[in-house]
Amino acid sequence: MYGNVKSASVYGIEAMLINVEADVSDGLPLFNMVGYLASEVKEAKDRVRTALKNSNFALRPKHITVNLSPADIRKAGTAFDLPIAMACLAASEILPQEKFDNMLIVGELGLDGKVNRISGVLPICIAAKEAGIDIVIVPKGNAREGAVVGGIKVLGVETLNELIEYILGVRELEAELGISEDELKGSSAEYVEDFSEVSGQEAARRAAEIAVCGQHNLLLSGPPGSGKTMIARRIPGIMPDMSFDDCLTISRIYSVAGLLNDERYLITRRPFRSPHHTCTVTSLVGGGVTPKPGEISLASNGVLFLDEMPEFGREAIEALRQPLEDRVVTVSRLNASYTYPAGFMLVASMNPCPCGHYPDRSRCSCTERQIRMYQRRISQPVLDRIDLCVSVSGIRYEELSTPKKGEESAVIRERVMRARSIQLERYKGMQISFNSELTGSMTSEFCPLGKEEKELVEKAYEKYALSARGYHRLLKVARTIADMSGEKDIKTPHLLEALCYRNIEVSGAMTY
Amino acid sequence: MTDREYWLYLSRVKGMESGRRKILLEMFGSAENIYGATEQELRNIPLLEDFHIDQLIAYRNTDYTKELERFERQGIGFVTVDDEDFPEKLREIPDAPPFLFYKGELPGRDVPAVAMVGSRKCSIYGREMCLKFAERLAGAGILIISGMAAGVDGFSHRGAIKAGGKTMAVLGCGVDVCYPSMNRDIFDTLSGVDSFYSRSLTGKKGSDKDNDDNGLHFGCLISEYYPGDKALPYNFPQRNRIISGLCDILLVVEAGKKSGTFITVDHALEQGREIFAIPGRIGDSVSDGCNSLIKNGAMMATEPEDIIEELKAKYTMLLAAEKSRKKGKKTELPEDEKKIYENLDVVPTQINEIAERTCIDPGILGQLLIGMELKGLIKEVGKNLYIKQ
Repeated sequence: MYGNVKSASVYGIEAMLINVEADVSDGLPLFNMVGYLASEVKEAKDRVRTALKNSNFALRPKHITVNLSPADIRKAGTAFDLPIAMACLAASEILPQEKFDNMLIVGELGLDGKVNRISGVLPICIAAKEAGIDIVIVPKGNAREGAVVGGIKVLGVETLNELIEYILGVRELEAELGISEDELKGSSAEYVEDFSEVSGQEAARRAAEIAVCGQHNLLLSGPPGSGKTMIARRIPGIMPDMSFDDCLTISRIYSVAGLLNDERYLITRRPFRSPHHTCTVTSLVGGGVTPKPGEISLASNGVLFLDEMPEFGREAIEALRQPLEDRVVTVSRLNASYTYPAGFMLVASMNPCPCGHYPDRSRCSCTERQIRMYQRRISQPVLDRIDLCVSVSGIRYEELSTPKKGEESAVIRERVMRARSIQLERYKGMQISFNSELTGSMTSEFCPLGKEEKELVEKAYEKYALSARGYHRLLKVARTIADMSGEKDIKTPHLLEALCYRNIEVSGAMTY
Repeated sequence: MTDREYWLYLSRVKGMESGRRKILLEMFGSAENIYGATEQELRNIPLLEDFHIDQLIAYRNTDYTKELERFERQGIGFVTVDDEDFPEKLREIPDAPPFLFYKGELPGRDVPAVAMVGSRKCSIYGREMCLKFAERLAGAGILIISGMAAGVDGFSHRGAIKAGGKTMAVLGCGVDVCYPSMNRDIFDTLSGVDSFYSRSLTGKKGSDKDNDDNGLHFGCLISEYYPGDKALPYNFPQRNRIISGLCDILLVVEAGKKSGTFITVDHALEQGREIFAIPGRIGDSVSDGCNSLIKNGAMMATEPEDIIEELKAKYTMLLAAEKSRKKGKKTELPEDEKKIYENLDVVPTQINEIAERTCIDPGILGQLLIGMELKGLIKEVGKNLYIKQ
């Protein structure tokens, strides 16, 4: 006899519907699985058989064949245990087949019949909704995560028996409720860290604000313990709240990475990711044998903070070049290539020298060469993608003993939202939404300069030995500063301020 | 073989810089006689170690005529005490090398010369003082001599080159060896090579080829070491006696308590050179050496004119040097700029500190700082670090 249950598998951050078929026929007792399966899927055989036995449903000694179709796509993960069990029961005529027609099932089985959490439920539920399926059965632990999608019935099950009883109609399962508007609003303002805790550092705060307004990448330079990390941590808090769709996009990535749970079933806060400097290329940009999103994808719509950037491996840093430009990262594997979003804002910090105290020569005894080599560890192509650079000063005792309260994040966020809405308006109908995304040819269209401004830029170009890229960065940042003050055209003061936060050029650096 | 070739032969022997060569010359009378001495004669001199004698004998097999031709092709000059363009001042000192290799253009006679020395790990203050003094002195026609080391030495050369003046680098290695490699810009400029590095320093474009013929020379590299000799640690104290020997005034820009600079100072005192030192703040470990020099009787240089004045007695050409650069009419600065200017110092101040002291809105502060820098009132010496000009 034949049974058929719908399930799904995750590829990249998209899910694809998979049909799980089972056939029970006469012949030598055998449990056979086909359909281009990874080994963890093949192992489902034993989990399913034992879990069924421990739930008091022994499979009859028959010739059982299970096929996962389409059969030419590789299937990985443990989400197929539950649908395989259901398909077997349907094929054995224990459960009615027609009950499964409008239902999608995912879940991992324990030997005792318990249904365990899996990763990627959110994209699976999204795919189910798009395919017009009404009921999605997920592990109880994933139910809230799936229910976020809304418009479909997401049922969480704890044991195999629960599901069987539900199919047989002897038990009702309560559908998990989606997230309400109020709940979404309430959860957004929950940043624990506030900018008012940063005392002093006026210029660095200002640079951070400019960076967030135009989604520019930011480099903070300063001695150890000066508050670089403190500032970086507070940057997500001054970004505008995310829309529901944004939340869903990010939660999708987190779902695939298996980082969602009952408490955190929807990412509503802007992410702040701070990988350690020993991290590998794969953990940073994503990949692996079974590809997983990396830190840059997990930082989408938020901040990727690279503390002590020169300490990072050169390869890891270089791997950032393409995602910084394209805002997506593509991981290619033999079977398929996966594209993950990577629309993050890069905030990097660095010490001015290996010991960190240059130019305070009473504490720093690094040679000129060491200092220069240290600064050169961040390659020029990566520096070229960082629009703003500001130095952070060491904190003196008076500041610690009598901290001055700075502006609160909420106040700054108001201004950021205003500047961002100007940009969204300007770039309506275009591929881009922020000043930082302007290409070379676009800058001439959106950053026109008057006569006086042109003269200034020419003078600065000579004086600061700007490169062509540096010139474009200057215009982009000036554009953002102009937007912040609500001006239509870029004026001299905007350019001057943008120059103040220009990036260090490696050749010039700090030694000469 | 000519006398020059005998000198060349002698110059190749390593480990003879200080007393040995001089005593050997006194004993034998000339380089030619040393060349002709038998092994036994050399062995009888207790002063010579085995490896000296091995070199003295082995190097006789080289064709020095060919070596001189090779150097000429490589643009390396060789000058001996017998030549007229051998630096006059060097003849005066007791243990002067009898020959020098050079690249570039030797300075003319009767040129006032100031040697600038100091720490290899200088502070930003030291760097700015170097640039300021070197630019001003070289601009007045004074030759700036230094050792092309990291720190003070390098910035002294760069300052002189930027001012379009002349400078001379005394190396502790062969004149065709660039050490330290980070000073490639100075090395290329002084040896007259048109490269990316020299262009970055002189600001000359590659297309300005014609200018080379018009004598856009910035000075020379000199060394008593045979071309190709590596920079060995014990060469440098020896090299210092030439630095002080070539100058009229030794200017110590920035030196800590136990700096190697004091070797040069000692040489200069022995050679009867005037010592100047630039003072630093009391308690600043990088300036301790300078301050104690002043305490012990060195002259204090607070501005380049102090040194020019001192040299005027000897060099009439400097009389024409203008007293000090006339400052433009003192324009009254707008209030905010004045506030910023008053809060700056010769020691760099960080932008966040300026914001705190002046209470100017950070958005406006950035504009003002860059505006003032473009006007030449202040200077950014590091990322968001500013000093008074």
